[in-house]
Amino acid sequence: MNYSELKSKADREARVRFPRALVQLGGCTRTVGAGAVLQLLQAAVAKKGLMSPVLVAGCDGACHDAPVVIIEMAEGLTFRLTHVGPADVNEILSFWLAGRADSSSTWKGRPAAWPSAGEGSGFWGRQERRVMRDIGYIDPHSLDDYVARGGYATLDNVLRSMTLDQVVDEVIRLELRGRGGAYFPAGIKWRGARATGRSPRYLIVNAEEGEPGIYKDRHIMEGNPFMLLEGLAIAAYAIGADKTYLYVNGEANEAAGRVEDALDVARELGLAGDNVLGADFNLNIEVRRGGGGYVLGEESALMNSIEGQRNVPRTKPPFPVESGLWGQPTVINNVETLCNLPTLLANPGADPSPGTKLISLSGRVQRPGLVEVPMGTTVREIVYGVGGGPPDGYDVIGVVAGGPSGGLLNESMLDVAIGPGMLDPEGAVLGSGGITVFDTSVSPVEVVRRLARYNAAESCSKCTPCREGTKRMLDLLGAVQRGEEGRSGLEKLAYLNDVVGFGSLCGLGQMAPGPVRSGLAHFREAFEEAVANAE
Amino acid sequence: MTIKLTIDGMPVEAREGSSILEAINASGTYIPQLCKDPAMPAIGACRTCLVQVEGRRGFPASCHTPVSENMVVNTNSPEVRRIRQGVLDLTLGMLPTETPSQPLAEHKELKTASRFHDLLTPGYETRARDHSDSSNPFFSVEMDDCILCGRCVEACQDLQQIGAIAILGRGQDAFIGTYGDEPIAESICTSCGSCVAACPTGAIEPKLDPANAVKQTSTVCPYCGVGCGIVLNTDSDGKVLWVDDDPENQSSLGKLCVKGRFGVTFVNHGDRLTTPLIRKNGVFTEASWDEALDYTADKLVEHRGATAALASAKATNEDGYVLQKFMRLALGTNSIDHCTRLCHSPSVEAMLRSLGSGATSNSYLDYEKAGCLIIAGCDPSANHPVAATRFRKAVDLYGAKLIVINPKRIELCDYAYLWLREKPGTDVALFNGMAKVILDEGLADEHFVAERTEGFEEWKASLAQYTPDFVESITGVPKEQMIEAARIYARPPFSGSCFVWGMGLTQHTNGTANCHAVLNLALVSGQMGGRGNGISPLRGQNNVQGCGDAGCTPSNLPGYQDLDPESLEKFARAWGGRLPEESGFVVTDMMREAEEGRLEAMYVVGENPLLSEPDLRHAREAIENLKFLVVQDIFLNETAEIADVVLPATSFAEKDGTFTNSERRVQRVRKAIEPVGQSRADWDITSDLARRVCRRLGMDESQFDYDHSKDIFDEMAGLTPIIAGITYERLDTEGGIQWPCPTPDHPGTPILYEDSFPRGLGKFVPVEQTEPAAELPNRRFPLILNTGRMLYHWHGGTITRRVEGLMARAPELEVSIHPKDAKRAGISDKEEVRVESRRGELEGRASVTEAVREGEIFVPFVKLRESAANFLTNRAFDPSAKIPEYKVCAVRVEPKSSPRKVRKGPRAMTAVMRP
Repeated sequence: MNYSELKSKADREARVRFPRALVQLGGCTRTVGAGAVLQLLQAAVAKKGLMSPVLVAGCDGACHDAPVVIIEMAEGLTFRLTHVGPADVNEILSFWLAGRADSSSTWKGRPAAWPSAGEGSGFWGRQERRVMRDIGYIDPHSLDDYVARGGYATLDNVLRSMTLDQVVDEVIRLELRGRGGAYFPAGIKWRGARATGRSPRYLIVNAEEGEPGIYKDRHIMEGNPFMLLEGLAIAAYAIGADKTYLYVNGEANEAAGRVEDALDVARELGLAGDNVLGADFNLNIEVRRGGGGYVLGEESALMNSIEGQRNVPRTKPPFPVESGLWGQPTVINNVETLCNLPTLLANPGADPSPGTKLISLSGRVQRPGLVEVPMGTTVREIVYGVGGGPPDGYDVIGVVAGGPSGGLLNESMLDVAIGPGMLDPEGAVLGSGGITVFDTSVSPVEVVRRLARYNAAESCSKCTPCREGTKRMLDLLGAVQRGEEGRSGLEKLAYLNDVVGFGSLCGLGQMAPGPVRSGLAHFREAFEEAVANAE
Repeated sequence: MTIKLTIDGMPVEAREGSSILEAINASGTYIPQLCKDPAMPAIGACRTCLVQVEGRRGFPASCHTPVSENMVVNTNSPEVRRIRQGVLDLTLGMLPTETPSQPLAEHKELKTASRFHDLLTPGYETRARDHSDSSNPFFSVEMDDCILCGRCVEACQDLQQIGAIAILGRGQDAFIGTYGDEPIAESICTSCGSCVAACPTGAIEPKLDPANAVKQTSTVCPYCGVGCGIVLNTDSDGKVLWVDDDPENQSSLGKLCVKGRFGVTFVNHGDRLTTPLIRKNGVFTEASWDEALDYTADKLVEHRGATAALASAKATNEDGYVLQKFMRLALGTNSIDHCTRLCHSPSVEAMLRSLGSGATSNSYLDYEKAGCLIIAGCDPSANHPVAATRFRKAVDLYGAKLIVINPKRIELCDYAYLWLREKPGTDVALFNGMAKVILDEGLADEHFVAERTEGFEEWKASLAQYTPDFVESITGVPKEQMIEAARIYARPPFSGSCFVWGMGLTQHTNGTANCHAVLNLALVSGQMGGRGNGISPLRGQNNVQGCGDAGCTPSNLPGYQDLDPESLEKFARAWGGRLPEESGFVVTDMMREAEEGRLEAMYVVGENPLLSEPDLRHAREAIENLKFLVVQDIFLNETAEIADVVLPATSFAEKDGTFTNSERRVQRVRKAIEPVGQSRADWDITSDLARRVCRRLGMDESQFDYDHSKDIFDEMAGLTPIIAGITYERLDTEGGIQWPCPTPDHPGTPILYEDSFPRGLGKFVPVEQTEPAAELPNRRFPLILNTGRMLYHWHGGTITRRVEGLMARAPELEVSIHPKDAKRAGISDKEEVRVESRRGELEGRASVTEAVREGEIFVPFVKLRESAANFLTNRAFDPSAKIPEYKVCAVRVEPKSSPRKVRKGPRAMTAVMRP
């Protein structure tokens, strides 16, 4: 099917789809009862003999509102019902069927109309939703939904009017950087793989997302898998990839399932396979699942895993663009990076911009969730503005930025703006965008120890500093906590930070000391207090 | 291109693309490098080779950071020492705090590294782990002493292509283990010991008594024809302590198998013959050399005209050369032969007839370059383990298509794209069928056929009946498989096709026909004379190639020079005496001649016909019929036991000389220890004997005055064009050289037949499938016995039975039998069984397995617990090459506990001798 056929079919469907309900059901919201809501609502609608569909959508990122049901009454008249429980099903039906809902309607005492990102303040107002724009409001199983909202227009345009080099050059000019954590310019990687002149070349979509407190990629895949397929198609085209591996975390079953469903549809309609959209471009995709382990997010360990080798990192150089999968040129891009492509290339000639970043915001905030904010937003803005700050009666004392490979920031440091690279030289990074807020109810030493425990447990075992050093750090932190170590214990920790940080083979080992180093730097009093007991 | 850089202030040059570590090592500076094997790619795990590079952040690991122009490297600044010391301290924290439990190794490289960093006491409480595995008789694994560097895993997987061990578990719980965490002895481990060699701490350590080596001697492995380089570590008492691999050796590149690494302790075994023995009144008595040699000389002179010799393919080229010179010049006979008669004589015969030269056409390197490998009638994993690593590598790393042709399932079947499981003795039909497919489908290399061959049309016409259906009916191989094999062989996915074969094709009554069928295939497909193609008979003994090269065959002078007037004249002039013009007896003729009384005396050097001949009871009768038998060996083998005189020879470790391996590479054998007891080098004994014989015959004894093996080699090279350019000096400086090497400046020849064949055009020789074998099953003997070899023993086992660890791995004869046959015979797995043929019987232990076809059993021909397969085999032989049919005879198998069904009567004379 060519693009205009796809588009006219999607538009036709879009005109007749109202009314309908979408239950935001994902890996997370299932845990708060969204699955039951879906079943009950479907049953209730069927019992009433209604033809209107009750569908599944991804979660729109507002964890604090879940479960959420979206009611689309008509074009431009969409309602968002929050905190829905099984007991609310009849009320939803009457809201839906009463025919009296309008933009001023309320649900559980709050406005029910669809909130718009970028307007006003609060959770929605401070976001700039590009990648997240449609997530939560479309049916991830429906290609029509995606196409009706502009999906695949960019790919069609790219295939029809741009050469491989033009795509690479444009992506470099637009300064798209990788969102997996390293912020390496995506186009430069692509160019590197092309420049080898060797084939086969591979594209790997890194959807491993193994670190705790990060849940952006699986949200994207649950909420808008076609966007990922379009994005990876553009990348595969630009690289001249012979094959694309979509490597999904072994526990993200919901995400993997929706991507595989979408892939079936895409294959059927000529959006994957040979001659995509009628163009001279073949897109060969294979979904692979991870076998577990933080280290799988490390690109060379991930490649080993695809090859059937033990999941440990390789030495560099050579880098994957020169010698990756089976020694062939390989580009590894993160899900979020690729999902920026359809919007980025929709406006050729636009000015370069740092773009947005998805932030997995968790911990002691009133409005945790998955949010998308412009690069340059301060951490304080994210914690207090988007997240609403701590619940009443609690005081934020710091955040963990970048997860177990990142570090701690104390409250006074929250005015740092997010962007590629380090947020703080002692450890905190933007990384793949995790911010976990903690307050006075927890000890910073314990926060550090928990992160260190994670790093020790997830060390792949290949290199000595990481395997042995993270274990020794964990033991020392425990001893410090128990008051068994004096000040020399802190010195030993500082030395280990250097040995592990400078000595380790891969990025995960090199960044493993971040929590300890930043903890020692920014929560010095807590550590001093702990060792004081021993002296 | 050369890169200039500075290391610790010193200007250094390094090859572009090399690592900083290589440059550091070349500069003579020491830096720890626990996980880096010099011969392997960097692992990057131990992080002890960190350095500082000016202008670069952090401390890159020098093992996997390439050099760049004007780089300034600092290996010993306080900053980098501080980090490296921290890493080493963490490493030491994995080990027990007390004195290491391994006195032999003392944690080898780790110790050096720690001392370099003044780390004598660990900074951490020990995190030692108690996992250990001592199931393998040659080495043990103690996780206590392991630093998880991964070198053993790399050696097992990447060097040996086996993958028996891996790092299991994650994080701090990681350990070295096997699939399913079974004991190593029960895994697919082949005990090659590459892991032992790679281990930098002694966590994987040989089970040896602590001892200090005083000397290292680089020489060549005495086992199979691959010819791996080994380094003998010896003590001051002349004992071989252990063996290291030799990464410099071009044939083995640092690889060894279990026999090469752990199997040479036989050298010092108490059973070694140490004095000459003379049989007096039926019992051996010790004798002086003079007494023994004079007595032998008298006897040989007495029987001159009715003497023959067996040369040893385990001895050196020099030994062989002197022996054949003695037989031809002093005893006036060409009746000298060696074990090639029993292994590859059909290959040599067919190659000589079709091509004009009887050797492997290409090099081991071509195995790795080939797009298609056919491995027919051999089990390289057992017999040529180091060659097998190359086959596995070709498949695993380079994507070659491997086709196994064998009735028995061999280890390489795990790597095979196709496994053609033909019925025994039907190979001619199979290869003719493949050739017909190649012709019918237009896959022949027409250019090659037109330019380089003759006899094509006649041969083509001979194939008419070998249609796929006909071939399937004969061979039992599904025609689709046969057709696909033909297509892949003729048109490999890349590069060329290499045809490798062994005794499974030759030890048949139709052995020469099999080999011709192979050569015809290679000719019609043009798979000769290029990189990645060729024909490759895998040679058995370490020097079976060289023994033939040296002239130990009844029909050829050294270097395969014919017994033609011109050559005879050349040798007569050089040797100062007349040479016999008539061809002599081959091994199998000798047995007949002895039996019939025409052969009276035999000089057997390093051979053991009473274990290697077929139908041993008959062979013994023949040998016993001799009037005089002198045996020269290192052990009192079965043949020596009935000899009149036994002469103690030195082993390979006690002499200088050369071996020539399967890829025609002449390599230096170097003396590592003094001779055991009064033993002497074979060439020395033969020369002494020859002088005494010459004296008695009034001949010029100075022809046998040699001071050193080098003198012999020089004489041989002067008379033998194929090695004319080789000298000991060259072998010492350049390493092994592949013949032909006609001139001193010739680099040797890795690939034969690039432009032409020695006989000019390659000749197609039509061959027909005949009866599969001389003796086929019937009601009384319903099963076919297939014989062959096994990894843990060498041939008859004379030397491997004297290596404790090898005996521990394989103490008794294993009789492989198909489950259906086992059920029919009432045999269960691991039960003791008796195997009988018309000629004899043996006892062994059943291994019930589908690795053998229904209706066939397999018994290795090693002698264990007095049982040997050759008591059963048939002495029917190939009419042309006269090789016995070791691979097929009819037998029955019963539980050992069951009463004999048939009274043992006189031996039935059922062997069929073909004209």
